[in-house]
Amino acid sequence: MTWWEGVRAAILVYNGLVLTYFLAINTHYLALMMIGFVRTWRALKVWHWGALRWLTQSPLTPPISIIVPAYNEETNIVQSVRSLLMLHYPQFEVVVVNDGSTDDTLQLLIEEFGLRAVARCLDITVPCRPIGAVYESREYPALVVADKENGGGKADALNAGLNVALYPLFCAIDADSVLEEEALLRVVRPFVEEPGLTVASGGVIRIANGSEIRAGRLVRVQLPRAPLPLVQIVEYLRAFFFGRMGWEAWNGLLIISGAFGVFDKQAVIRVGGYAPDTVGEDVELVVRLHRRLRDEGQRYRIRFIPDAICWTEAPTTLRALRNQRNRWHRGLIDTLWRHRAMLGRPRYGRIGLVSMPCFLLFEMLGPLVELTGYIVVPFCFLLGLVDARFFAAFLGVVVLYSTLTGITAVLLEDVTFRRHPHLWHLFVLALAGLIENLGYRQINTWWRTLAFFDYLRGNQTWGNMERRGVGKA
Amino acid sequence: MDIHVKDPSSLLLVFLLALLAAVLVLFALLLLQRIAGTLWAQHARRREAALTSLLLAALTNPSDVQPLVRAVKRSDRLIIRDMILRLALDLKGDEGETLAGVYRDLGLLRHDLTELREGHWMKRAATVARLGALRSLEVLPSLCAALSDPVVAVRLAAVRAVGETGDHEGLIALVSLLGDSNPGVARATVEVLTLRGREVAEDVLAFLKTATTSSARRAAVDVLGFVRAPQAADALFALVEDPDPTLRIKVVKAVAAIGDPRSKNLLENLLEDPLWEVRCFAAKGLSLLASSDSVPRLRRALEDSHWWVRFYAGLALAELGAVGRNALQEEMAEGRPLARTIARYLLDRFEATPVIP
Repeated sequence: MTWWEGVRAAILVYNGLVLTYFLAINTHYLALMMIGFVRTWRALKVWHWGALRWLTQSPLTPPISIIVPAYNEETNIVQSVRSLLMLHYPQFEVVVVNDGSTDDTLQLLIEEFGLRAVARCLDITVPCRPIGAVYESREYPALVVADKENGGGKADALNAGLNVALYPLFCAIDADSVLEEEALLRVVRPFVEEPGLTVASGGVIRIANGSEIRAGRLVRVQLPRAPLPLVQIVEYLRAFFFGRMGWEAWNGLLIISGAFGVFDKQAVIRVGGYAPDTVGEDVELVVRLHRRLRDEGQRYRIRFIPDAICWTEAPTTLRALRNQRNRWHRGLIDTLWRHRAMLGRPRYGRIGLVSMPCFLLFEMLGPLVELTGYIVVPFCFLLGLVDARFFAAFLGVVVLYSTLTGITAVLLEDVTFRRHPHLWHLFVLALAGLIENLGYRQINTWWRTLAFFDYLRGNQTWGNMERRGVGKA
Repeated sequence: MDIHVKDPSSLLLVFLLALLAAVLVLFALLLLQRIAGTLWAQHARRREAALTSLLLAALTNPSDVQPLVRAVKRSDRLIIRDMILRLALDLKGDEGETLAGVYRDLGLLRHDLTELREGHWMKRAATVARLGALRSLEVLPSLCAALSDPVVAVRLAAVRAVGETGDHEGLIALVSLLGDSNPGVARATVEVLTLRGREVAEDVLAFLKTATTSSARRAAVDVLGFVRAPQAADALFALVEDPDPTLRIKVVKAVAAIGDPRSKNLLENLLEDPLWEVRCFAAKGLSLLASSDSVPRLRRALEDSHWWVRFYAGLALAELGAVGRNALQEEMAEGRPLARTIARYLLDRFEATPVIP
């Protein structure tokens, strides 16, 4: 065999591996979605008439602190806080942590809610940057605003919130999130139905761009006009809704979105709160909880609730999307690296043997394999190293199989929740499922690949997220 | 186009075509199911409009149910069932019983009872919940039978369903579920008895005295505290020194809630307890008893290491009236930092009172 034949054989093998990888990743998504769908359908079936009413009336429903880290959120903050104060829940407090904003976030809150500084002494259970002042309001006794020094990122702000929060459960949400009226009741359900077992519970994040929001409530679901958030709707449905529901089926969930998750405060304090030296504080916390609880041999559950819905603003510009995806990927790499000792270890059960290897293979390393595939396979085709049928099969798997998973997600959403009221919404979303694979996925792959270099360079920045206000994009 | 089954490239092509077909089929399915769903929703709206007047007539005059029975077609059963259940959530007493009668006359009750006996667990759970929403005493024996269902989800639904009827016999049947092996069911039972169970406090007390497991005793103590059963005071006093710390916390919480005047000395002593939760509930109990004799002990508790204890001790002082407020003012002037801070905080805005965790 000549050296050229050797190279050619290696390239062909690599092409085969790339094709197999694409097949595997899409099959993995499809399988997760189907499992997630069955779980969702079952959850909706066994949840009964009037059951939420019991939760609303019961003195046993655990009080909850909603922690809202806010850094330069003047566009959304008042609307978000109003929406939170209107939530349907027996006993809760809203703890806004102003993370040293340089805009008018704090001033707006003070004026809008009649806040004044109070001598609330704090129980510092997890380390955080100094908290300068705590504000409360006579008109809104459920509202507390803590003004802290900037630094340490969102994790530090959440830790400050934990120190201010009074109640045994806390809900971490983003300042631009809009919770559905009963979302909190629904997401707390596992803590009520499996007392002592549930340590965390996540809700569904859905995209509000284009939808009509009045007085902090989403009143009409519409599709955004911009293509970028439109494509993200399908992506969120596939990966962050049914995908997570699939992982939840065997207690293998590694991510509870920082935009909407409820935690047992003592469990989080016991593991030291959020890690301020990572940009993926949400995934890192969940993995650390798994690790600690498995180390201690405790029985526990980390749940995902399909009908607890939080609407949020998706990035509308390429720059903002790049920053977000780059940050998410750095967070994932960092978490998997920090907790690499769990990988493949039977001691960590399904987390170590299934969830983490899948996240490593399909989520963390995915962009590297995909990117090389996007370059090598067409190149080989142009050089005549692979035939047209192989190339067509590659394109088919990349575009058609991925489109299949996208449309499946839209179908499953329509069967279970039907939040998009018009038939043309479905047309557009199905089309978005196709478009997602014709450029969007590839550019995402590129940004996520760059995240490796940024991570290796020690980049810990968040990047800017341009806010336009939920529902306006 | 040549396709050879043994040729890998041909197989890939077949796969490609299959994928394309799958995408198209899925897309068609998406549209078809939406169209079917929309048509069904329109049909349901039309039928609801047609059946509403007949249903209201049957509710106003129960002997007028026959026109409704005749008008309901086989395909209307789900529609009329949902209409009745939506109404049932808002109707109680005689109107509720009339509604249950209509449900029975339409044959829906018979169908539900069959499902309860023979259905899959998901159907049984959903049926139990429906029957609970109906709040009919007629189905209470079936619901009570469902309390011993082997599936947790069914038992959970049954506990709430029996709670919905609020009948004395049903509530008595619930008491034994305070000791259910599933914590979720036991908790739901506490929830129901807390809201509806004052009249069965004696039965809960009897259960507490005979309960053998810690979880059962904790659940019973929870109920007795929440319903503030004065007859349980003596039994609770006896449990204050129990070796189970969780039970002790719940006992002190219940004692504090009941507010028996005999508990004052006990609660004052418990302000020194090693468990912060016990100290906290003791302070809370003293705020309910509102005795000015407790001021020195409460002032000492203002320097407690735990925020909630300081908060409730301060609140107890604030609620004592002038004597307590003066004590807080004095703390503001004195040098004890923790006491000064909590006194300042409470004097500043003690009307905004969060509940204890």
